[in-house]
Formats: sequence, structure tokens, C-alpha cells
Amino acid sequence: VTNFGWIDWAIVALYVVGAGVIGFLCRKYIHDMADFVVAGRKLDTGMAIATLASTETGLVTVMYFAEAGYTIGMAACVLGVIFMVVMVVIGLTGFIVKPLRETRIMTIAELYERRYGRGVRVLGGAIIFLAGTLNMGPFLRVGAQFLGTITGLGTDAQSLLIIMSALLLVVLIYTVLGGMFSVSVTDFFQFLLMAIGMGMALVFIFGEVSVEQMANASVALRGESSLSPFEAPKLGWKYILWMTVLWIAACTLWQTGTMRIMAIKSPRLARRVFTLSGLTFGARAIIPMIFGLAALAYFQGHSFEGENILAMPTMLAKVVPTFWLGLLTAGMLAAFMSTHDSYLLGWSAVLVQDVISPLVPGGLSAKTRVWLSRVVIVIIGAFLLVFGLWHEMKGEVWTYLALTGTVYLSGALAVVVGALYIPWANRVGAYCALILGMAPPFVSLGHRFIKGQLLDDALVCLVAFGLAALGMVVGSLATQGVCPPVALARIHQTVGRGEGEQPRTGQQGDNQ
Amino acid sequence: MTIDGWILFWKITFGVALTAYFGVALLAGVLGGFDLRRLLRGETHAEDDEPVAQASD
Repeated sequence: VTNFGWIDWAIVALYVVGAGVIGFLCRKYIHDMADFVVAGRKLDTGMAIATLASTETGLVTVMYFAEAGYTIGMAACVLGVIFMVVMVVIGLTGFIVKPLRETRIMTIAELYERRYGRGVRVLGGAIIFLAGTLNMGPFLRVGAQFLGTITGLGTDAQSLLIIMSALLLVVLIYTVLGGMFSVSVTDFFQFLLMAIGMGMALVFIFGEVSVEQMANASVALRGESSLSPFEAPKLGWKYILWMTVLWIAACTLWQTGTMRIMAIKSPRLARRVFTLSGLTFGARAIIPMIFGLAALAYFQGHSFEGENILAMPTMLAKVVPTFWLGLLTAGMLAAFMSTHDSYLLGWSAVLVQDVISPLVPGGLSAKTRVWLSRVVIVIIGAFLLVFGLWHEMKGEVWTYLALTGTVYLSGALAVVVGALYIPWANRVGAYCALILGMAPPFVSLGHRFIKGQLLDDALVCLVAFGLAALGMVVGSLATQGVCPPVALARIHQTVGRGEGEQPRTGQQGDNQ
Repeated sequence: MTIDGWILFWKITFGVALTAYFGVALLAGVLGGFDLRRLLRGETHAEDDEPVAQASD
């Protein structure tokens, strides 16, 4: 039984059509790759906060954090605390964010080339693309599960196929047409819609279930340890340490977030935006977890037999009344579209800019790159549909996402910190960091996909971050004679823009 | 920590996180409206477009 009625369908349809029209209208603002990928670096504080906060707060985010709250209990909220503290500290200190924005790159792998050479860029780009695409794998299915549950369309295989296909079609049209400029514009509306929708959902939820009832349900169904992040079965010190290191890397170096940082109009503003956005990232995890905990309490006296991930939307469909449910769903759908188009743009830009273009003699023209990005976007979309239909997720979705993220973030953190802060970091160290960093999570993913077994992912990923750092230090120091370090290539500012952008007054600076 | 202690801790955490989120959302909503108007009118540009050398370690 769901409260979703025809008014709710109308609200959702209005949003989808409105977002499509905005995407189409924004085509006239796309002149080159920089406009397509980083919105011409023109975003000011308000727009930048909205776009940074909304790109990493998608429907999938809400689903997997709600699943974590429902499965683990109240202690899962420690993730929100970690995210907020890490981002605010990074924003206040400018660690990575400020020097990164000063480089005027568009992709992380572009930075690799400026400091370590083309080979590192191609390898790094390939790893980023592979990890990012795998990371996106469950998105379409999870989004369809939410919509199928909340609207009452169902979550059987046939319903999911129809919903996933429809969602994919809307996202592809919207992303391919508009690029980052339209993404930034609709991100702004999405952020507001999401804030209103989640705020109202919280009002209705707290009207039904109190925090004490959530805590009591957590203790009754998940044990007393489910209140303590240090003692809960699926958390503990190892997990907290992994999440802290992972988030330092993810919030600064995850390609889609990096694109937002690079779209901000100055390095100084980038720090401020990061600090303010960081304040929203606690709730980014905690609000969905409250939804999950509310579902735990709500179904304590009823019966809920479905998958854990479906508990939250099932509860929302019963607790949130008509009209508000439509507004919430439109917000969630907006978040879904925002995340998808950002990720599709991010990973396609990496493949085209960092892997394909450097391998083509003479490179590709800006126009060819934009078109090739659009082709790659459609191919990734097809992969999402196949993955969503055929892959059965083992364990929590969030752990899978953190694991696939570590494939690229472990090496990226060591290589980028080396590029920005360590004068003796060299090419050999960068290769060692990238290869050693990706190896452990790949082994774990292999166990998942081939044997259907889950390893201790917190340990695996901490080893990955450690090996990557060790690879950078030992690899660099051991080869200083044969491979002397090279300073970060300067960008000649007479051009005024980064790679792939239309020159304004002169030639772009060569790499060393 | 006792069960009551943890419940109090999470209540305070929820309060801080929700206040920060909706506070920043309000700020971004107001500032973003003006930003959007300037962006669509082409009145904004990258502040580091000027010819200055930068970005080295």
C-alpha cells in the first residue's frame, strides 16, 4: 500500500519535463570541453555549494545510507560525523583543494601528466574509468527499486527493467544534451527540492517515530552494541579508520567532486565552498540513516519481509502523505539524475581526455572530444542496464561502493599528495602507488564477482592505502638517480584556460 | 558509555547535522539565486583567467 497518487505523478512528470527543457536550453552555453566538463569555471558560492552538495547526494546515496541505518543500527551515523569533520577540516586548511584548483586541471589524471608524464596519466585515467564505472554499477537498479517501491509499480524483474530503461533514457538525453553547464543549473534546483523534500519527510517521520523509539528498535533488533560505532559488529576502529582515510581521498579526488571544485571561479572560493558544503555532508548520511532507523522502528511491530534496502521506501510510502510524497520523489528523482549525469560526464571525460586522446597522435580536437564523450556516456548507460539486471549485490551497497572507490582513491591520494606537496616524488613512485593501491581491492572484487565471497574489506582497503603510500615513498626515493623528479608543469595563463579549452590570447603551455 | 549516554550523543549529533544542513541549504538557496542570474547573463567568469604564472610545488 502506498500513498503515491495522481498528484504525485503529476509533480514528478513536471520536474522531469522541466529539467529536460533546462538541459536543452543550456546547450547554447556550451562552447568547448571546459564548458561541457567544468561549466567554464564560472560558479560562485551559492551555485557551487548546491552543485557540490547535490552531486554526491543522490537517490542511491539515500538508499544505501538508509540500508546501513536499517542493517547496522544507530551507530552507522558515525559515517556522517566522519564526513562532516573531514570536509570542514580540509576546507579550513585548504589541504589538496586549494593547490588542486590552482592547477586548473579538468581531470585528476591531467594532474598526473603535468607532474609525472603521459604514461602515468594514461594508466591513472584507465584505473579511474574502470573503478568509476564499476562503482556506478548498482546505481540504476537501486534507483529503480526506490521508485518501484514508493510508487507501487513493483520491484519484480519486469517492473525493474521498465523503470530502469525509462530512467536511463531520461538521464542520457539530459546529460548528452547539456553537459556540466546544465548539470550545474539543475543541481541548484535539485538541491533545493531535495532539502524541502527531505525536511518534510523528517517532519512526518518524527510525527510517527521518535528518536527514543529508533534507539530502542536499534537495541532490540540489532543489539546494545548497535549504538556504539566502536562495538557494532560491522563497524569498529578498523572500519572508522578506513572511512576517514577513504573520505579524505574521496571528497577531494573523486572525479565528479573534483570537477565541481574545478568549476568554482577561484581557488580562494574553492576553500570556502568546501567548508560550507562540508557542513551539509553530515546530514547527507545522517538524514537517510534516520529514514532507515525509522523504518526499523516502524516495522518492529508490523512485518517487513523484503530486502533490507527496500525497508526505507516502503516505510516512506506509508508515512508520507500524498503531494508531499510526490515532492519527495521528484527531489529523489532529481538527485538521481544529478548523480548520474555527473558520474556519466566525469567518467566519460576521463576516458576521452586521459586515455584515448593522449594515445592518438596529435590528440583529438575539442569538438571530437565532446562528441566522443557523448558516445562513451551512452555506452556506460548500456553497461548500467546490464549490470542492474544481471548482478546480484552481496552485502551492503555502501561497502561495495567504498571498495570500488578504493581501487582508484588509494593510488590517487598518494600520487596527488606527491604531485602537490612532495618535491622528490617521481614517475616511478607514481606507477608503484597506482599499481599497489589498486591490487588489494581488485582481489576483493574478484572474490565477490567470481567466488561470491566477501573478504574483510576494511582491512583490504587499509592495506591498499598503506601500500600505495609505501610505493610512492620507496619507488621515488629508490630511483632519484635514474628518474629525477620533475616540478609540476606550469600552465601559461595567457591562455587563461586548461586543456581542451578554447584559447583566448595565445598558446597553451606545453607539458614538461 | 551507557545506553542513555549514547542516545543523548546521537540526539545531539542529529541536531547539529540537521541544523547545519538546513542552514547551509537556506544560504545556498538565497546566494544561488543571484549566482544563477549572473551566470545565465554571462556576468561571471573564472577569477584566475588573468595572465599570472602559478601552480608549482
